[in-house]
Amino acid sequence: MADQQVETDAAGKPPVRLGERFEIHPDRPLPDLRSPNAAGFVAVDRDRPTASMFGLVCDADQPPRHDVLAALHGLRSEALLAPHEWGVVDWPATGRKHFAIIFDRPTGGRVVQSLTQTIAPTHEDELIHHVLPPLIASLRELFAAGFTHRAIRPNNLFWRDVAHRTLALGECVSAPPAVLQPVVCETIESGMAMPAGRGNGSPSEDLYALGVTIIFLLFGRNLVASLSDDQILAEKIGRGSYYALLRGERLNGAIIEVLRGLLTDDPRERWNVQDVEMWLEGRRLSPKQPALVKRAARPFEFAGHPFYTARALGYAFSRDTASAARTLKTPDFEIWMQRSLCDEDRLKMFSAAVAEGHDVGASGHDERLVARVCIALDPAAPVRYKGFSAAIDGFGAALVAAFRGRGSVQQIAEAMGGRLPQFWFSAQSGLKPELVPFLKSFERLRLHLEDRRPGFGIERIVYEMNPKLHCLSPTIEAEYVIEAGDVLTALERVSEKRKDDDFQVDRHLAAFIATRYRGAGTDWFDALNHQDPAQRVLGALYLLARLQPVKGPSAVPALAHRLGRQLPLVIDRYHSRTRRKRLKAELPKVVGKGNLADMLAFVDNAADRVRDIQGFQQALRDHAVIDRELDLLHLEAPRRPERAAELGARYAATTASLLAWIIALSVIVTMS
Amino acid sequence: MARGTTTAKTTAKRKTKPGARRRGRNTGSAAITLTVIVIVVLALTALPLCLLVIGGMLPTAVAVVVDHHQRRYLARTVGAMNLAGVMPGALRLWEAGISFDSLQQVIDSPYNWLVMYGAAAIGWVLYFCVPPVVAMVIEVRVDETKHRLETQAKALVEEWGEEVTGRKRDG
Repeated sequence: MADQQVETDAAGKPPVRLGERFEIHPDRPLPDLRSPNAAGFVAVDRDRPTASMFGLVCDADQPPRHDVLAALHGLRSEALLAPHEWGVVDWPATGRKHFAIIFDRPTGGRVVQSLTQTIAPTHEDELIHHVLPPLIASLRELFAAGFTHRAIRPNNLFWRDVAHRTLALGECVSAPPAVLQPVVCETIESGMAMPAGRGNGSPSEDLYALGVTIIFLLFGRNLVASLSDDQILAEKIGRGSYYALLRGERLNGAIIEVLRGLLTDDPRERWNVQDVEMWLEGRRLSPKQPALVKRAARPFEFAGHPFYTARALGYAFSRDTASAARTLKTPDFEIWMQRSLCDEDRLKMFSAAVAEGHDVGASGHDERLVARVCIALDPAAPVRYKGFSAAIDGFGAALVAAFRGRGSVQQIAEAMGGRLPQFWFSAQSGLKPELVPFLKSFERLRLHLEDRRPGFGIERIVYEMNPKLHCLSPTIEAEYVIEAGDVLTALERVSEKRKDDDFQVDRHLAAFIATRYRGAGTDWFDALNHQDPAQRVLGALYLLARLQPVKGPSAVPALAHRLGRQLPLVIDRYHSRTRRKRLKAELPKVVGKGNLADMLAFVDNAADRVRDIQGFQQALRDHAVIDRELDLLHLEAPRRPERAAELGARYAATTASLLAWIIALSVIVTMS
Repeated sequence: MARGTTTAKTTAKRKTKPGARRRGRNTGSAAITLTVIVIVVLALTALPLCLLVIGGMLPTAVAVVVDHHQRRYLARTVGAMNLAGVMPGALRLWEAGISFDSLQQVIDSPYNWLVMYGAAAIGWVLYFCVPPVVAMVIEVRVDETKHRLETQAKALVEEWGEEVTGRKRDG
């Protein structure tokens, strides 16, 4: 784990400054406060040196939730671990930059370190009167602000006091939403998604996780600890979450109501915050009965197993695409849907899923068909394609994970290119208002995906979907650049260490600038894709020179040096050898100043370029004229003696006539 | 000479358009007709002078016979000089009065024949010497032009590269 590397080799390192107020001490790790993706260290508030604080130094592979950071900072809710400060720090142990967050240090420590740990059971009254009210109040504030927690699990709870009476929810900002959540704490829909693709979800998912956490606290252990994730999910789908999670354990008392309400698998039936608050206030609601899932009259056999529900069959299809594709090509499945499942909505969506596949025979057709049928069978489930599975609002984080080696970028690109998200939206009976922007953005992003130029493609999509993701370009990834204006500074820092390497704008860097610098025109990136290396260098210089006035330093000598090494290629685009020689002689002086705009004007001056082209055109014409004249001389060579003879004879005749006249006149004059 | 004139004649034939050839032939026959008329008139009015001219202009007659060039440069060259050479003898005959006695005096003088035929000979020399000189001058001028053009082309290539030739560079 990268965060372990963050902790090591930090002994004896000086404190790292975060902003003006805070210091993180790399030599004082806090193992009990570390998150799976972030290492914990003692932090000091310079304004309040006695305050107990800690800092999380995040793993660079998982982008933090910037929007929630700002919201939590503003809320200052008592049962939520609220961030005081956050930002990018230069971390000495890894020699790179990381995102770090400063929190108040919980006094009582973590409730459990892992889900396999056993603790003393918490009494129901304790839960109802001391634990739940502040947690629910804090969640209400968070939900009201329009955000979700997505990290509610037993091992992310902290005792706020030494007496271990009140709890606080742990941090939820150091990683993408729900990425660290165990399947047991996730709803069936969210649990089917890959961890990075679970998305922000809705408050409903948080309340479900709270229900799972309550069970853990009530029993002091995880009742499904012996089951694998797949088994947990299968149990939840087959028996319903409430029964699957209790594993036959009996519950007494009023707590059953809230658990039934929170663990209902139908999100529309699940209790919301107001329901829980009313219940806490003593208003007893009628216990929720698990909603009846539509079961088929007879099972459908797939891969040797009988399936009675569309959801279970969809889940099985998604896990064995090849067999599912074969099954879907037989009439048995449609007959089963018509005669046994008898669900009109599912049948309609199934017909739509089959009808949408116009690309029969094309690569991935079967996989896309299976993916659409899975959506048709279970519209609430994530989009599942080959091995990829993500909620509609989890595509962005899933794409980041894929780019960081946890998943396949190709699969996500194919899923988006195959319009699976659009089909998912069409399958929703009532589209949530918060999802409408996603529908529009998927249409827009598909156009970017089809554009193969640098600055577009799947790299563009990852930055469009993750507005605060740092630049993943291998060149400056370690510099953790979030804003377009910091690109040049980062490139300069990197270039100082790699002065003799050629510089190239890779697809990530181009896409990052295209997304974050809204003034960037699409034509800025055309040259980067050019076959001519000189055009690519010029394209890179053009792009970076545009950035420099925005926020970049006025001089970037190291970067200029790297670009300057490649500029003779650009200079050689001039036709005039004299101009080339002059420019090459003067280039080191211009490069030395480190101003990219000056460099650009020097090597690609429009007026010079026009003059050069005009001069060259004139030279072409002149040379053509010379060629013609030389050719003419060559062609006339055989006829030249003949012409000379003709001309000579004419001259002789003329000379003779002239002489004759002179002689005649002389004779006449003499004799007269 | 014969080879030169034959070549000239052949080339002229090849190069000349039918209309031009007809016009040239007409011009030649008109000249011959005019000459015959002049000689006839001269024979009727001043027979001694006519005989002197016929005798003195024999080199020209030979030149006319051997010159097959359309423009008859040889005949014109030799004829002009020959006529200039006949002029002193004809003037003397004119001064002495046109009679056979006077003709006898003129033709008895070898000096007169030297002048008449010598002038014609100069015409022949001119016809043979001027064309090689002209050819030489033309060759020199062509060489100069070629050198100048090649120098200019080289300078263009040096300044603008091989691309300026309009031919792609190898590799």
